[in-house]
Amino acid sequence: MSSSSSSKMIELRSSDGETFHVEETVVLQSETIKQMIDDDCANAAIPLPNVTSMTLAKVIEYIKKHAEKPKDDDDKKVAEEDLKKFDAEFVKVDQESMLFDLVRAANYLNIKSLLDLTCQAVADSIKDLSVEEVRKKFNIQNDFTPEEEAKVRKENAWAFD
Amino acid sequence: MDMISNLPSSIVETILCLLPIQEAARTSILSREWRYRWIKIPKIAFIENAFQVSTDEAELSVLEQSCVIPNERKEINKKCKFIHAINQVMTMHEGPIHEFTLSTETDDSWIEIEHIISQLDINNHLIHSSDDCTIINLFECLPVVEKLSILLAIVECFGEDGIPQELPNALVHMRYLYIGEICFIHKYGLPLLALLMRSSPKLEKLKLEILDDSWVEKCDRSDCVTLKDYSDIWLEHLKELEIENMIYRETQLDFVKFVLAKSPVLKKVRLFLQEEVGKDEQMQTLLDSPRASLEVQIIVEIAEGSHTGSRSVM
Repeated sequence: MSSSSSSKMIELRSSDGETFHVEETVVLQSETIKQMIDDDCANAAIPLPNVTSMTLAKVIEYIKKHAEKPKDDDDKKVAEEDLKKFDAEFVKVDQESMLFDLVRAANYLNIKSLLDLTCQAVADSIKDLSVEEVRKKFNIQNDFTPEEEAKVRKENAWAFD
Repeated sequence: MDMISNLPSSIVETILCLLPIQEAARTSILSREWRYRWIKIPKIAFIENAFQVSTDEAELSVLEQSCVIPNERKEINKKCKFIHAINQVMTMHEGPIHEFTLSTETDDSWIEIEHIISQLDINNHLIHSSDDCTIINLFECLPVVEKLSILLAIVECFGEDGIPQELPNALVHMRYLYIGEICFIHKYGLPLLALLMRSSPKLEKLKLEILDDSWVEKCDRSDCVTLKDYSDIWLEHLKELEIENMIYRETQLDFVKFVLAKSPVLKKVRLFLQEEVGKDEQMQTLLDSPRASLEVQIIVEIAEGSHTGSRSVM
């Protein structure tokens, strides 16, 4: 992990009060934080009331990895492969709720690549599941009456073959 | 509160866009809240290859009758289901379409593409002409499209009148265009490209995949159309050109030179050669040809067999 001592450190505070120190160059991947720094609101710790310490630690792990710069062209190809592997592992979280917390955090912090990655992971986890499985997985209450459900199924019959 | 419904609606929309259209439509049955969520997605892809077909042959008898060729029942059934799905999606869909992909399996029956395009218009009533649908109508159905990918037997998609110079309404939002299976020597190949370049004033990226052109009948080859006829075209915003399956034919090289000369902000040209048929002299003619942009990077890659050579030139 490359770190330069000259880079300015930014202090972030999670919703549960934990503080994290991250290099400014790394944290700029968040458009939201970048805006705050540009507006000169980053002299004290930046409060992130929507992000828990557990989620924030994950987000920082992600942006640190994505801030690494390859030295030359040969290194670049290796680094790209490495990053792909990292991304694939990164979204393999133990708890489903963690993935959603990451989606929310990426949205709030406005980190586009992380949002794309996590949304794709959610989409992939839905694919090939039955309707009942999706409901169970995401804890969705089926509030249709049996008659309504039959109607919706008929309305979109082409998709339920 | 369930986890996924709790997400901001823009995120739910993003996730729905990442699902195959069939899967997205299936979310309608999750709950009342979900019933109509999928119909507003701005990104739609109809990809015949990826389309799932069951063996259930009920319901579709009418459509089936309207399909041509009586043999190969299974294939036809699949084709009919695909067209039926397009019909159903477009009937339900609400709101603008920003990203659109249409990919059919090529079997040169123009009737089915006509059929597909008429389904796309089912809810919009944008096609006014009483004539048969042509590929031109496809663009009329997508007035605000930003990203368009088409992969179909496109050369057959024109009516009696051939290809117009320009679309009646320019695609003013279009930034990305991908055409699979383009054939430069076909009489409709270049004119179609020219039509789309003229009608997409904001185009930033153009990606083409060249179709092997040995099958083109003599009568269908272009004899008189050359790039000189397109001297009015100016690609004000084009940043990137990518061509796959290139074989360095003269027409293909001429097209790249044409783009180089007409694109003032062009940054990158990527050419994927089918095999190592590109000789240095041909490469040199590309490098020597006039450019409108001062900073173009031309990257040539040979992607065939075990050796993948890569060469990049400033």
